[in-house]
Amino acid sequence: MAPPTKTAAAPKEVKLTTKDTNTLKTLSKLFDERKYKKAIKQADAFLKIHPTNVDALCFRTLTLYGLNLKEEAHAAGKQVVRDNMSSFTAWHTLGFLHRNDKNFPEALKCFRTAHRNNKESVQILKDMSLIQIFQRDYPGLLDSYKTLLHLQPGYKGHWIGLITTYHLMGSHSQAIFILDEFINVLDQENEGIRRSELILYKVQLLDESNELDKALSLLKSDAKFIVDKLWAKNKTGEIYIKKNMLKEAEKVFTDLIKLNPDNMNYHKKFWESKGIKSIETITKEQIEILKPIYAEWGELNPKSFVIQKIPLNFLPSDSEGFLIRLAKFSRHFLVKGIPSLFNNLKSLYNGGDDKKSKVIEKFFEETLQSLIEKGTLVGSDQQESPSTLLWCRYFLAQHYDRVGKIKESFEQIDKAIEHTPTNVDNYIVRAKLLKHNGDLVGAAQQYEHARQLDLADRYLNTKSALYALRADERDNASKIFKTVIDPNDSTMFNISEYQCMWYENELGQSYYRTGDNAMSLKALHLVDKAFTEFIEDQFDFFNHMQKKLTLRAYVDFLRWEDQVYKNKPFLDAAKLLVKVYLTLLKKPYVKPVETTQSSAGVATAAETASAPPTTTEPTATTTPVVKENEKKQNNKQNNKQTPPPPPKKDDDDEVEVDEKNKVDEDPLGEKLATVPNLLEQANKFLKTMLKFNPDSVDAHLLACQCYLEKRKYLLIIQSLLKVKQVVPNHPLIFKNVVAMYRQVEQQADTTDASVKKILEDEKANLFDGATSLLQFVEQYAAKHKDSHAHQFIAGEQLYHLTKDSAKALDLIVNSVSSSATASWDNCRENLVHLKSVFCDIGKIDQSFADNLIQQYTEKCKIRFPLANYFQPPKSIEQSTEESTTTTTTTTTTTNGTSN
Amino acid sequence: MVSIRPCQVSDLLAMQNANLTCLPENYQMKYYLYHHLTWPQLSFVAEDEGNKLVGYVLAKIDENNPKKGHITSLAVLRSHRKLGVATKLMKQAQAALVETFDAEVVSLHVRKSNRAAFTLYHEILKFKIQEIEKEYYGDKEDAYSMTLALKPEHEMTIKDKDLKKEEKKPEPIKKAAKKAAGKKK
Ligand SMILES: CC(C)(COP(=O)(O)OP(=O)(O)OC[C@H]1O[C@@H](n2cnc3c(N)ncnc32)[C@H](O)[C@@H]1OP(=O)(O)O)[C@@H](O)C(=O)NCCC(=O)NCCS
Repeated sequence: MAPPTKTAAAPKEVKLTTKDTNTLKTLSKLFDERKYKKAIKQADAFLKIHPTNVDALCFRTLTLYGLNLKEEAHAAGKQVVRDNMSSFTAWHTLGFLHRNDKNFPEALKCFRTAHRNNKESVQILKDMSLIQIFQRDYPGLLDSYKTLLHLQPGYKGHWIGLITTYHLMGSHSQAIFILDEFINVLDQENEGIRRSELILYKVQLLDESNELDKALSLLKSDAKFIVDKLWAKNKTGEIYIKKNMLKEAEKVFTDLIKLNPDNMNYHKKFWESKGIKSIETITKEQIEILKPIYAEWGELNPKSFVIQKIPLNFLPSDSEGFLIRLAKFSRHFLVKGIPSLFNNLKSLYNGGDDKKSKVIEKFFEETLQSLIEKGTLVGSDQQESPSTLLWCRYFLAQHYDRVGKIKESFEQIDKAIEHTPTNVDNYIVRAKLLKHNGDLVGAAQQYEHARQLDLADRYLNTKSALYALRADERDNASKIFKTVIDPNDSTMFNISEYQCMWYENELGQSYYRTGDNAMSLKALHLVDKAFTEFIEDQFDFFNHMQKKLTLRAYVDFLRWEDQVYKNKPFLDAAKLLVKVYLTLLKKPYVKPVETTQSSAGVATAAETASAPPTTTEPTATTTPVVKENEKKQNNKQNNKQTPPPPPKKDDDDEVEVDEKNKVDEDPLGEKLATVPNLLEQANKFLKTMLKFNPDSVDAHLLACQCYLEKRKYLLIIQSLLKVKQVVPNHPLIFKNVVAMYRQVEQQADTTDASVKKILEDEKANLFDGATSLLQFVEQYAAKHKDSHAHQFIAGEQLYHLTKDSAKALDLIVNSVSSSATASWDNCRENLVHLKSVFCDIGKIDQSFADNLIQQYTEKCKIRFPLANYFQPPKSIEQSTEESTTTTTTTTTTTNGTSN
Repeated sequence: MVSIRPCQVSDLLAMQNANLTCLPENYQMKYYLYHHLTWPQLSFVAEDEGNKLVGYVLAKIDENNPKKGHITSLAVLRSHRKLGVATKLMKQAQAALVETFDAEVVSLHVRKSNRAAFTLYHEILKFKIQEIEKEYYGDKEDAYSMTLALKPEHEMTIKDKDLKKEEKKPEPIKKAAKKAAGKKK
């Protein structure tokens, strides 16, 4: 980031000598070169002579900041402003500090004042506009660009800024107007890709403002300048569809399918041009339309699996065509030994036609028989290689797993392993089967075995680490992971640096499962950190895009940024963060007793601190864009692969700062877990979650818990109504209703009368007609006899209400065996809850708690014999033996409980 | 089934994740954004029917040579390999390089030990070995630097470098050997 304007604001009082001006220049240079220690000495010396020189004072402030003396810098910056209220340099400098602190609203305020004090400064306007984009302050941004254009009418970037601002504000016609002007002033000489980009950007603007005819005619008239032909063609087709010009659309998409038969979007649009909205709702007549087309395309494109597969989607299971196609499609996979046959067919299992899975089962069982008896595929005389049998079993194992035939699935995969013990993929599937049945420890071992067979494949490495995390073997996971990352740094450091969010989330979940809430927070906060980085990445691309004129991509990018918190990794992390904070609220963090084992998977402070310094030369800047490996490549390739990099920091001063970042200041997550405002922390994540996922049931249910803490009962009702719309019978609706009314009863004296009145009025509705809480709970338990989740929660609430431990125990424990809906993983979740919340926090009789946990575990053990969470911990050898002996003998388990 | 289509901004998170899953050369999000905002036409993704990203090719133009494309990264999740996905991704990227940037050649680097990728590049896509770059990778493994002519008039200029003096060319994996069950890479 560039330091503020250096054009000296001539101080009022003293005239500077040439020498003084030169000193200031040197100062500026030292600052640019990040030689802060020298700079501060120079500044101090200068200030002895000119104690009120604003420029020198500002440089001194900035230098302090560069030396990481942030508080001093802020104090100094504020003082300069106070003494020089009308100095734009002073305000600009203070804004710069705030910007680097990422306090963008404050930075914007300062830049605004700086601008008011000097309306001619381009630098201030540029700095300000970057923050305005970041803050999506469009009206402000418009003003900035208009002023900038006024100051520098020939500068391309300002035009672009103005155009994109109008676009993002939704003023498409203004954007188009300026864009036309801009294209006119652009030199026409061979603009190539840039010109093409501008034309296509205009097409996008026209399309978005529904000026479809204009968009079409532009695409046509400027066709010769357009180089991104694929996009142009696709857009043309889309516009035809919007205009209901189906014949024309059909032609476009047929052409596109010729270019890339594997693009599913082209196929979908092609169907639309044939009046078919979706394959799920296809009519008989429509099937007859598609059949000959795909028959022909199928002949022409034997290697396009999309074209080969589509008929399986639309042909009914009982048609002859389906079976023929299925045979043809799968033959290729079985004979060539392509492992992904099941992945390619699995969409057929959940389509509208549930008979397809039956047809598939029968077909593959017959194929298996034929291969065993004759060595041929059904209906063929050709002898197949022995591996075909292997791949058939491999498929069937996955199929049986999918339809809940556990015994059969293990039988097939075990035979496949026997057939070819060196085939890696067999073990991957077997690990998956074990996982689906809750044997997470066995699954991790199995995956590790697969990994050992092909150590060069990072995919196996990644998944093996994942399986280890799922089994809460964090040390193992870290060890496996370390074979591909920089082993000098801790796993925490590496995953954070590489924004490896799947690992962060899995680690957070694992810590939570094992009761280490503080470490869970620590891991999950890394996900949040990655998202903050994604958001801040915006700062780096504005200038870049102005040069490249890739405006379509840029606008898409900003729109993506607007919604970035919608992405699943964030949602997953945020949900658990809220949960953990709420847990910590009830069960405050206690420092773990010193154990000899270091906290799993993470280097402790001591470890980190004592680790040898990783590099002798200063590594990377604060935000290395490309990782070590790639950096090496860059040097070798002399290809600059990075966006305009931040200035090099090769001064000693900087190294200290960088190394500091590597030291883990909170190795156990203690600081995170002991902040005074746990509820506020939860609330922060909750707010983001709800803002970007207003329909998320999970988010609303978590919100209820926060609201309960804050006694915001009306908000609870609001959220519950929302949940009811989506999942009318969600068991947690009941739980929250009961919890809320219980709390209100307990705190009757301090609850606002008007709120009480509303709650009283809502009772009839929320209690399903029951007149008292107790009646409601009992009625509820009776009504949902078949649902494990409902029974469990009813038992829990009953206990809270009546302290009738016998009845509660009965409901909770029997929910495992009596209902078909129990699955090993929701039972595990319940058990975690019992241990960490219900029994631990609730004012619960200790012997009842012990009894409850013990009996619940016992029931789960019987019902889910493979699930090791319910088994007592045992030695590794023991568990390997057992997992191999039990797997093939279990028959009585969980038909249809998962999914 | 796997669909092959141009990459969008909203694919980049999943692309980063696939890269972290499949390859030891990893990048921060900013680097993916840089590719996309500089050459939005050049990268492609593969997704399954549940819209999960299962493969990608990340391509660019050489910053010092506007007629030269470069494949920064290519990967397919193991669960979807050997389906021709990588071949198709590469073909799309190559076509886009020619169409949009009028590129004449495209280059890439591959680990010497990476037989699957080498076979794909050398046997299927007809890339030629330009040279061996010693200790190119972070873990000191050597790389083949490979190049493909995208236009017939450049074909003559690009040939496999004669590696005899230095060492033998790696043997492409034989079809017969591949057929045997339980193969290894
Ligand atoms: C290399 C990789 C991208 C190939 O992906 P893919 O989709 O399976 O490749 P394709 O199906 O298009 O294979 C094309 C050809 O490559 C060769 N090939 C692919 N995988 C192979 C393997 N495991 N062993 C031998 N040859 C292989 C074959 O010749 C194949 O043609 P064929 O199927 O007609 O025999 C994939 O294995 C991968 O992602 N690996 C990890 C990441 C990686 O190494 N990336 C490349 C970095 S430079």
